[in-house]
Amino acid sequence: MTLTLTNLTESILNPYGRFRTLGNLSAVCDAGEPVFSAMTHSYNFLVETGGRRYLLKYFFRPGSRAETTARLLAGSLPGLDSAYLAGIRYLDREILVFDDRGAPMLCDILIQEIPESTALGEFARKHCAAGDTASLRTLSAELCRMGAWLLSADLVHGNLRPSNILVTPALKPLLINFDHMATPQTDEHFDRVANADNTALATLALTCHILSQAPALYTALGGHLAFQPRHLRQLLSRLVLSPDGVPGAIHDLIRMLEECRDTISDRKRLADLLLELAGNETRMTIGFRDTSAELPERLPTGPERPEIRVQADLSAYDWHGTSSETLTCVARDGRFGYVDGQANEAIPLIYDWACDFREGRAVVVRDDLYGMIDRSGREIVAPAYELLDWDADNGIAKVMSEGLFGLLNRLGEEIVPLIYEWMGEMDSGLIPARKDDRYGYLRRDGSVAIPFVFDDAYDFADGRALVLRGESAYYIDPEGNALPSA
Amino acid sequence: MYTARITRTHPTAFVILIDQSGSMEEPTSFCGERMSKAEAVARATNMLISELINRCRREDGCRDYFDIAVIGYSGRGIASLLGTRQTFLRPTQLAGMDVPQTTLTKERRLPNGQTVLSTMRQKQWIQPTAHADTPMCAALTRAYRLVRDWCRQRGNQSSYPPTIFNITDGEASDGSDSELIEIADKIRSVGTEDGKTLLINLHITSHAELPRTLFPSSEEELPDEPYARLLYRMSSPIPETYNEHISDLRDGATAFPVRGISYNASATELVGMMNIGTVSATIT
Repeated sequence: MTLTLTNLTESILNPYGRFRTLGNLSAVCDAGEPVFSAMTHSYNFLVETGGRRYLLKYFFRPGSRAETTARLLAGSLPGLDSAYLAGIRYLDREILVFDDRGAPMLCDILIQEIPESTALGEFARKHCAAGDTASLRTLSAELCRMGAWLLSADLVHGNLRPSNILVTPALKPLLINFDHMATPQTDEHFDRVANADNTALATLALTCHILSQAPALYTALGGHLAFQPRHLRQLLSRLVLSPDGVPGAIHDLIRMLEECRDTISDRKRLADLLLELAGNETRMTIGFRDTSAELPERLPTGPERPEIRVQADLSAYDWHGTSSETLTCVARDGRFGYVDGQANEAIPLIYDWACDFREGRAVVVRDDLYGMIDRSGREIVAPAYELLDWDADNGIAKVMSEGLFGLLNRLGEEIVPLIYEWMGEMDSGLIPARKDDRYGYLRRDGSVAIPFVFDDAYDFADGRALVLRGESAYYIDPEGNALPSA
Repeated sequence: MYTARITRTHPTAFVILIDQSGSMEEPTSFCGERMSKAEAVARATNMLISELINRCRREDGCRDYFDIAVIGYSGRGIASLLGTRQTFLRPTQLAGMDVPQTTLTKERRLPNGQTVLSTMRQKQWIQPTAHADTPMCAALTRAYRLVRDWCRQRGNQSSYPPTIFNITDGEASDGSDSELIEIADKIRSVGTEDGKTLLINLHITSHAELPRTLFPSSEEELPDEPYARLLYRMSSPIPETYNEHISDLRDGATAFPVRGISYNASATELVGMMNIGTVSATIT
């Protein structure tokens, strides 16, 4: 029997006689519409019963890994009585649903407790706006402790993101939607699935720590985007921490994320860093390095040369960046755009995030997808990528979609198709990349400079790069020749 | 083939062609309610649009996983029924449209024998209408151009291929059998790297006594009527990823592969057929 989301919605909006054990259930509605989301494996409805709020999940692919895991978790997976995990119950043949022909069917559901709480993203937005550093610091420390617990308990959440972390009134984090949870006992590919979780944990902890020290940076970091590993990593090189002697954990965490190439595998080291960060109460100042000073010499010259720095009144905006190539990035009500030197709106505030112009191009985000605009506001690359990293010095942009990387030129034309599983930094001449789990190096025109034969490969610096092949680790030159060890 | 994951960067497309000829004024039964075929088809289409929009709803809002076009064909010509100059609309656009709503009521019998009424609000993007001829050939030509252009777009070249539902109750008034076969072949020849466009012909009737055929695996399963055989030859073989759902719909053993066609289906069955035409695609 094929059940649709519409069939399920009918039962949830008309609950009388439809539930076997849950009594007086009602759908939570917003403007008359049920609050729900359609996920990859389940339809999730927010409901109330017995004065409590729950997430009701129907797994529409019976036998899927998500459904099997959910059933297992609701049973007896060890370690799941933690205060960091929201309680769940799996209810067999609980809800009566009628299909398109009117035939009835009893279906299994899972219900997950949703106590009074705020999702992490919303919590960060509200408390950063209020400058509530005390709450943010408490949460940041608690989040680090939760991360250390997950790591030491050998548990992988499987879908760590701000919407799946609730913050209780006691400022404790609570995990929900752990249908993809894995342990070394339940998942033979545990190490692989753990990598993404580890990277997400490091990102969440670092972002919360930065915001707890500098809540005013919330908008500049891209709001909720700051909790995404790739987005945060793009910003890390521009962050300035002071005083210089701030404790090592945050520096080490930043370095770990910068160098992790989307996979952090050392769970023990990460747990230690998170615990160190949780116990660290040192105050520091965090800001962005001003990149505008790097640009003037490349601007057009002559009588039409626009003035670069005009002290315009930008008080009408919630946030503004530095003036770059005559335009200043501004934000109001969570929308980003650009104003000119007289504070006139040059590019409408239609983006969810935007960064400064460099060499006539700026990266913008709309609906969590990255694109690139020119100084007239024209979308050179329409927001369609999950990542876009603009290298102004070399006039190329690294893009990623559905986990595959490629390169575009400044006109938005594809010079390397999206076929690589990972791509490293573009500023050292040759670009390290991964394909079919092997590492090699690309030239900026997309041609292969050094074949994909390595188990790991690092950026070139001072004319050499470290590579790993089998049991051997050695340096190579830009021709791919092994260099004699020092 | 037919395995591409549907993402915002690689959406898929649904084109719904609706016969709005004069015969669609005939009465039929839809979910136990008497109404015209035009009204039943409009309801089924509105329900499908709702289902598609809802499947795009994530925690952070609606995401555009689909391009959706609804085109009517009748004596008044061929026209988009979504009331905009754009033919393809995305779920966020459709969700944001200010269209009338109606309350749908269904009678349900609970396991204890009690009968209860279910109510659901339903947006009405499509309004029923019926007028004169059946220019199916012209409508299929329009659909062919639409999907050909859609498949050529850079972002769509590796997408799950488009699906066309052609809902009709009668024969074309503007083309010979060979012309219909020709345009259907052209439709089925365009596609993406993931597969060719799927053309599903949904023939409905208001005569419940006529033998109905859903997703047949051979021409012999259909009534011995030239028009039924013609629709069969026009329809796409359905990929195996749909098999489980089709088996459920047919309530029994089915020899696969089947063709995407219904003949003498009821208006109520139309909803299930269209849902099956959309459920096998995987959204990430």
